[in-house]
Amino acid sequence: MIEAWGRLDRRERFAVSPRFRDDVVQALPTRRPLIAHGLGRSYGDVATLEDGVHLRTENLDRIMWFDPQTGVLRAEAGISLSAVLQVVVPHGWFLPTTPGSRFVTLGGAVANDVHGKNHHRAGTFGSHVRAIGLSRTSGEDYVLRPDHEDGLFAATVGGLGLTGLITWVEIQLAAVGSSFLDVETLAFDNLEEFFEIADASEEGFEHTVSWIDCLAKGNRAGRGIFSRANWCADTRYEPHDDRSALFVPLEAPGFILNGLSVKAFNTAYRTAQMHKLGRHRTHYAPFFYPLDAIGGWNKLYGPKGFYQYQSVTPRAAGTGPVRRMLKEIAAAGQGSFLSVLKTFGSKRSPGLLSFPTEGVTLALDFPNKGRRTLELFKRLDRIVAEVGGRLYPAKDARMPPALFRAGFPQTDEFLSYRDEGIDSDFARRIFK
Amino acid sequence: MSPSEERTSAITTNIVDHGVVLILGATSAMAEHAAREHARRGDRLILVARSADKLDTIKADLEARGANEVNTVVADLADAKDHADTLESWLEGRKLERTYIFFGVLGEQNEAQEQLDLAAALMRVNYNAPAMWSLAVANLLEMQNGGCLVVASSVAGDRGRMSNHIYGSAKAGLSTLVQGIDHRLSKAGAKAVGIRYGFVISPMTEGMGRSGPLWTSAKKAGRLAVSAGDKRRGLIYAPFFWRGIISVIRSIPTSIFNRTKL
Repeated sequence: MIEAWGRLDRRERFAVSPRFRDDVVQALPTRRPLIAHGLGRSYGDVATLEDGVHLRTENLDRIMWFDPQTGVLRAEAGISLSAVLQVVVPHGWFLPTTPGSRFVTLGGAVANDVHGKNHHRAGTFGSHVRAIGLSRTSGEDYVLRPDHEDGLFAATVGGLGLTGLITWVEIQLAAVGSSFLDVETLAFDNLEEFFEIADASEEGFEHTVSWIDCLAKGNRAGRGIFSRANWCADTRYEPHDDRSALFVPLEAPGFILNGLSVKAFNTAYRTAQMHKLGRHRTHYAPFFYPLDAIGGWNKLYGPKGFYQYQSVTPRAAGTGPVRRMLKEIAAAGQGSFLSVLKTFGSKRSPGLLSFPTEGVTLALDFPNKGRRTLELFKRLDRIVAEVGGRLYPAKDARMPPALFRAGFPQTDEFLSYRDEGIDSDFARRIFK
Repeated sequence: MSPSEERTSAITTNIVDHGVVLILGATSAMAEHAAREHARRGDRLILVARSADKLDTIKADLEARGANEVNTVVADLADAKDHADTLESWLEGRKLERTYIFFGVLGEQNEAQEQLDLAAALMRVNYNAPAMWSLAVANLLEMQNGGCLVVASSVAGDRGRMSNHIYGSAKAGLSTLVQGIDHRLSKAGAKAVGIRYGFVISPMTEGMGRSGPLWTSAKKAGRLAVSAGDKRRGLIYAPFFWRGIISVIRSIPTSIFNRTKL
């Protein structure tokens, strides 16, 4: 069973799982379109293909070389960021930037040009890629580097796996002073305060992120918790251990997540966080990957699955778009657990279809309530489109093609680099 | 739960200082994951398999994951002679602390029962070859007065059934052999463990409907082999719950069992 993280569309699909890079070609049935599929953390349909072959990369997970002196690592595309960290952290290195789950593959991190809490400093994951091994289904193999005059590197970073099979990736890791971070947590009452804290934190803090109470209405609207952190310098290098994680074995019945429980959760979460306001020291695992502690948390959304809606709206548009989106969501009563608000810095993303641009990004989960949820998204789309914002393909399962085109003006250039043997449900929906 | 509590603190072997870990059939998925566990502990490894390219790929990975040393040997283990001499040449005088035998082929029962030379080939690769290596390793462990032999076997050997009794009979023989070797080694301060695996998701079972609670990943199966080598001896089941399943299957009367098409 191939599943996307949102579990909206679940069915038996055809998959192959080659164990060695040289076996990839033999493993493929001819004349069928294919898509690479890693650990299934993309929420929507970027890594699925209805009638195609899913090339599972999970067994292509070897480190090809790692230099503990320079922090350069080359590994096969299917290795998880978790496995990378377990190897490099004891040597004093960390990922240059990391998404909110360590259970994504290196290839997926490049193909979606993922970002993290240090975007204002580090830019996207793709900004730290030194080389990519790309195999096209026509039989050519490429080694792509950022300084290539040819645009294939820029098309492949954030290219949703559509420019060829990413077989390996070489990255520059970041030197850190510890595996622990000094974290400071502050409460904010409205969006103006959020922006004030965000602006004040960019200079002095490498990592910033906020949780926002998306169900709060009226004068409570826009309240949330801001967290900012820097690496310690105590040279304690302790990697995490994946074996102790909890696991959600079965999907929760659909009725568990309803307006009341979500509201209760948000209130309880806020209360819990309010008690922790101030400074504390924490390991990187709970700081960067709080939800990874509960394996399969996506099943809590029940049999119908869930959507995530992540937008970025330009800095120039100010607090208006976020305020209006929160108002729509609160009015619809459809918000979710962990709504995340973060400012993106001005570092340019390397990919033609990279999502991050300077501005503010808002990410929210929505249990799938069918038409009601989709109608809400249409209203949110209008707000995003009006200010020239865009939605994140890795999280998307439903954006209209026109919104994509408007948000990603380099789409036509990107399309000229596509591998004709590769397709995805997302590509069919957006580029038809 | 603080991260320091999450960490596995004690390293359970001291292979680093004293000897090597030998893995026969090292490019199998389970073998590779067992090797990663040893790499994490900083052990020295000798990997034996047929494909030089695959061995090189795995070697580079194990070195990056912390292995103290990785040597590779290209050999067809099912077609070997002079097992004792060959073992000695690989070891170069070092102590053989741990040996894993992971190679095997599930084969096509229906074809093999029609063409007996295919059946003979299956018996050779699943019984004769691992049995000879097991005996050669056992002799060495007896001389060393220490060390551990871990052999991958299968629940398929626990009750013969129509769909895989050629493979199953080879595994039955192998399980009994390893059990006997452990009995023998118990007099010499060494040990052997035969692991009767249930369903493992690996290239061997590609094409089967492999979802559900009975299926174990190759990663977990490999780790179970290492922990079996650390802590167990004799014949065991992996994962543990197969003991119960097999005892039920074995207790089904023949008259009823024969109505199934398992």
